[in-house]
Amino acid sequence: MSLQEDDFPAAEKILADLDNVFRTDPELEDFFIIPVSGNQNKSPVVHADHSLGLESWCVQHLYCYVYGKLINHKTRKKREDPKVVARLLRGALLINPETAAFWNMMKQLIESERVGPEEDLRFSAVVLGFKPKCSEVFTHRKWVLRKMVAQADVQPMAVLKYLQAELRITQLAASKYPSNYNAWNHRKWVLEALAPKGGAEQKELLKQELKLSHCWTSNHVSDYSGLQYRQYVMQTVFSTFRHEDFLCRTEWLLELPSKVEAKCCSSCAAASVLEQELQMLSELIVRYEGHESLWYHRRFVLHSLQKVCVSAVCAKLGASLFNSVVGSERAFASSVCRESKLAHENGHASRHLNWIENVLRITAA
Amino acid sequence: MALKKDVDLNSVIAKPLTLKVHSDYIAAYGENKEDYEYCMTEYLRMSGIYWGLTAMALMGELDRMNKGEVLQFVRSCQDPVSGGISSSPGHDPHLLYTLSALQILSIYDEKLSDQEQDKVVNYIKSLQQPSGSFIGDKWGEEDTRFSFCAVACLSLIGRLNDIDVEKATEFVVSCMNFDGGFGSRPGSESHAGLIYCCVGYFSVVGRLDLVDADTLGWWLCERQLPSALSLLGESTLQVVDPTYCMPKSVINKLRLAPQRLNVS
Repeated sequence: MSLQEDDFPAAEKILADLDNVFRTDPELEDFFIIPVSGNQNKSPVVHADHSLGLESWCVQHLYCYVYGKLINHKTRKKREDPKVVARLLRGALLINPETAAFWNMMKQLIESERVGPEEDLRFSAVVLGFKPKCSEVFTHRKWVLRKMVAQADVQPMAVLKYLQAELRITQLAASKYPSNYNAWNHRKWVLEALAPKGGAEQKELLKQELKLSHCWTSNHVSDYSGLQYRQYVMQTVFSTFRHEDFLCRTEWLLELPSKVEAKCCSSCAAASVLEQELQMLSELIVRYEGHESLWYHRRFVLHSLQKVCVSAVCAKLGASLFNSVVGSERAFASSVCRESKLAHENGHASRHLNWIENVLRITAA
Repeated sequence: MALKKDVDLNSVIAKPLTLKVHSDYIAAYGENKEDYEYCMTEYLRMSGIYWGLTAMALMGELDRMNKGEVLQFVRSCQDPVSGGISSSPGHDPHLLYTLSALQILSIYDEKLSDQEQDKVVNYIKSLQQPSGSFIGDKWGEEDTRFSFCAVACLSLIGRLNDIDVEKATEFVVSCMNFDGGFGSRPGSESHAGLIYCCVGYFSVVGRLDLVDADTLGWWLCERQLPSALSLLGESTLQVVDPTYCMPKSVINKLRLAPQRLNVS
């Protein structure tokens, strides 16, 4: 393989132009490759509305150039100045963010304080604008964030700022790529690693996330990764909230009618939340026919409700309450079977009945 | 309206499997070192070679590949300091490529020297965490994929007892979900690729009894699309992807009971 790095004389100018955009626009959000067939004798770097574009004609030449230089630097054939390396890395990672070795070189530059961690987080956020599902970007961000919050003198306010920024970025990535496993997974990690633990702040954050995920669900009825995030938040709420936490400031709840009295105890509160979730799902299933995700989420809710009912010490819960919920569940699925004109929605409903019987192991009376 | 996720199997699709075309393609692929394509895929070269060789071995055409060149390439990717193996010279060692490298050696019935092998074992040991999980490389990303890579590597070279298998198993079990599936970390969504890794993990350590085969079988069967060719990676919406195809013989081997679900 020939890596004739000096084959492309425009490369350094392009890299300098890219760097200039990163330096002068701290609010840069997005990166695109713009399809342009031939070199039009002007800079291929386009910057407008906090978006960065690179004309496609230069991409292959530029990548081969930076790749050759970086590998030569890494294998000590020809060392470059750290500032130059950072610039080459940004060029390489914009085009091919899957290359873990280049993110690792960036980590080394952060460790040796040649690149600031905040500056790097801004850069990798732009890369996510281009490749919103790229796991190497999320992996790298985790490393940077772990390093930042592990510093001895880190301020709680600063951690809160990183947390909010990360929540914003994962939501952006999730909206750009449906069922974005990596984005939602990253968001869970953010809640575990950056959120304040145990206090009122954590509870407020969980309430905020429940509210947000409800909103997301209503607008993305076939995004199961988003729904699974909601499941994760619900489970965290059930394991951390005390009874009074369910009762004060309830705007994060769905506030639908429920058979179970939430005021009774924490198990009843959890059961009530789950019961309301089933109602919310019924509405969505009727309104937006044919989405398997909604049925899948239903299974999680039923499974959780079964656990809460069977293991609860409260006399108001128990197997009989769960059986009555399953009764309504059967009636709902049967009505969808009867009324839906979509064959695959019919299939979802009948599979649901089948699942209740064979996996939940509740047989019809 | 639901999105179209499946493929149409119409009469245009060739019925016989064109093995000759497949093997010609793979044989030529190894030779094609055109600059841009080559640079763009260097980060997974070792796995690419493993996939190519596996396909050639299955087609009985392994001798068309340059064994000497491949083996020399594998050896050139071991990092002398950490003992881990990278995707390509100049890239960083990682469990993913360490496994691909050992798999390539197994295909050729070759071994690392005792000294090289000890280094690989030490590398893998160094990546096990107090929770039992494995990180993929020294930078700290934890994922059930890497638990699979670790035990698969060690089992191939007969060194499984060098790590804390019990603790490692505890971690993988903690990633099991209510639907019987597994995700990358505790609480992560079930995903066919990661389920492959976790079920593979239990198979390698001889603990398939820990898999809830009935519930997982249910999940798996429901990923199958009407064309009957393919499985979906995640629960919904993703389009049909041959990566997730699983032959019935494999499903049976894992005791996932596909015959249980005859739903509509």
